[in-house]
Amino acid sequence: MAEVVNLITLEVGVKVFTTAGATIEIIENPKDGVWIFGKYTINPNDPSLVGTEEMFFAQDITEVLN
Amino acid sequence: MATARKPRSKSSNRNSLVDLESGVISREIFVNPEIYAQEQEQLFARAWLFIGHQSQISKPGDFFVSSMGEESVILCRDRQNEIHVFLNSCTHRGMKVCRYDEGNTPVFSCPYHGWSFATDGKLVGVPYFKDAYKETLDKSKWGLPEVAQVCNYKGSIWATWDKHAPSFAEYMGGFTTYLDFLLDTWDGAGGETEVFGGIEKWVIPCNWKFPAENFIGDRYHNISHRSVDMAGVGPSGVGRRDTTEREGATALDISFPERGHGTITFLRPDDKKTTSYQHSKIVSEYFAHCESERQKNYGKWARLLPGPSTVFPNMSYLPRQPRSIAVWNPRGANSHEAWRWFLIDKNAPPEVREFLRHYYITYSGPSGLTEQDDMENWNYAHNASQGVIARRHPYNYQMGLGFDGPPVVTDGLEMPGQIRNVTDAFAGEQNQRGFYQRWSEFMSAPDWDALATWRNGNGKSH
Repeated sequence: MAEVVNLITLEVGVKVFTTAGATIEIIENPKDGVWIFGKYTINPNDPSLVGTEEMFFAQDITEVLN
Repeated sequence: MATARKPRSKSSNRNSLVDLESGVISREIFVNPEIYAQEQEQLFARAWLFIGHQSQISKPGDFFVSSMGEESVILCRDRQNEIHVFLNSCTHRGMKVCRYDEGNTPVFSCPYHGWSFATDGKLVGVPYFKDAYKETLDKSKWGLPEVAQVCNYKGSIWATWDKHAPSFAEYMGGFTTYLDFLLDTWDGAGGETEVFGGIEKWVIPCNWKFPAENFIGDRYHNISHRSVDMAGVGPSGVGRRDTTEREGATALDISFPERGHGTITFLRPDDKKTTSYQHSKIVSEYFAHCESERQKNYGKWARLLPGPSTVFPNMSYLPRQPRSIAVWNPRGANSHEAWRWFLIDKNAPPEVREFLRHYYITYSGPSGLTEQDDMENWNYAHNASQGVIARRHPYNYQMGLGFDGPPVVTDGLEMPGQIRNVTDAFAGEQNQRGFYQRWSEFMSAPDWDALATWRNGNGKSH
C-alpha cells in the first residue's frame, strides 16, 4: 500500500501526483486534510486542462513530487 | 386568578400559562419540554437573533461559529467581502462542516465524506464527482442553508431564518435608540468598536428565559449582589459599578411590549458631572475625556445612562459597566449555554484595555462575581420549579401592575417606548410583562402578519 499523503503539511508550490496520472501544483491549501487547490502542470489524459485550477480530493493524491 | 395547567397539546391556550391581566405566569413555560420544543419553531426560527460582531470577521475568509437557538451557524465573510450566516451542517449527511470556534479559511470541508463549501456557502467540492456522480449532481442546489435575512447594525450582526420577518429596523422599532449606546464608541463620535478577548461560553442549568428577563428590567435583585458590592469589585473600588453618575437621576423602566424588548435606563440632570474608574489615573482620565466628548456629540441625549437590557428574545447587554453582550442559547428546557462578548473602542489605549479586561472578567461570565450570584439564583429557581407540586404555583409578576408611575419630565427628549418612572417605587415589572406578552404572541401567532401587531395598532401593553 502506498504511503498516505498528509495534505495538511503541504505548502503552496509543492507538486503532487494524482490517481488520474496528472501532476498538480498546489496554489492554496486550506489545511483541512481533505482538499487542496491546485493547477494542472501535466495531464496526459487531457492536455487542455494544463494551467487550469481545480480542487483536488485527498484520496485522489498519491504522491508528493518535491 | 389564573392557575397554571399542564399544556394539553400544541394548540394549548397560552393565556392559561401567561396571564398578564393578573400578572401571573405558569412555571410550565420554563420547565416543560413540550413548550421548549415549540419555542424552537415558533420563536427561534422566526425572530431576529444576534450572531456576532463584524470585528470578529474583519478579513475575507474570517469566520466565527455562532448559534441561533439550538442550531450551530457559521458567521463568515466571503472572498467578495459579503457577510453570510449559514447552517453549520453538511447537506450530505449533516456533519458539522466547521468544528473550530473561529478562524480563517477558503473552504469548509466536511470531515465525514469530504463535501466542501466555499465561504459564500456554495458546494464546491464533491469527492468522486466525475466517477460516482457522473457529474450529474447539481451542486448549486446543495450549498449550505443560509439565513433568510442578515443585517449589520453598527457592527453587530443579526439574522433570521424567516424570509417573511420584517426588516431588522422594523423588528427593533425605536429600541435602537437604546442599543446605540452599546454599539457606539464611548465618546459618541462614530468611531469603531470591537470585540476584545475571547468569547466566554458556559452552561447554566436553567431555562434561557431566566437571564433574559433578569436583564430586561430586574432592578430589585440587588440583595443578591450585596457581597460583591461589599467586596468593591467596581472600577473605583466601591460597589460593583461606578454608580455616582446615577445620583439624582430619574430611574426609568422602558418597555416595548409589542416587540418584547426592554431596558433599564437613567435620565440624569443636565449639569451632572461624574467621576469614574478611580482605580487608575490613566483610565479615569480617558473616560473623563470620552464623557466630555460624549456630551458634545450626543447633546441632550447624553443625559441617558442606559443599563441592563434585552433585545427579544435572547440577546442581553450591558452598555456601560461592564460593556458586554450576552446571548442565552437554549439547550433544552432545563439548560442553556451563555455566551458573552466584551466590547471596547478600537482606539482605546493599552492601559485601558488591560484595566477593562480585568474588570470585565471579574464582573461577568463564569469567573465574574456578579454573574455567579445571578447563576445561583437562576439555577436554584429553575431546579425548585420542576416538581409536580411546584408547577401548580405560578410566578408572580404583579409589581407595579395597575399603577401608573409619576410623570417623566424629559425636557424635550422624545424617548421611544413605554416609559415608567420608577424612581420612587425603585422597581417594577412592566418590562418583564412586556417580554412575556411578546413571548406569548410568538408562541401562538401563525405568521408575521399576525406578529407585526404594531402595523395595525394591536400592540397591547401591561
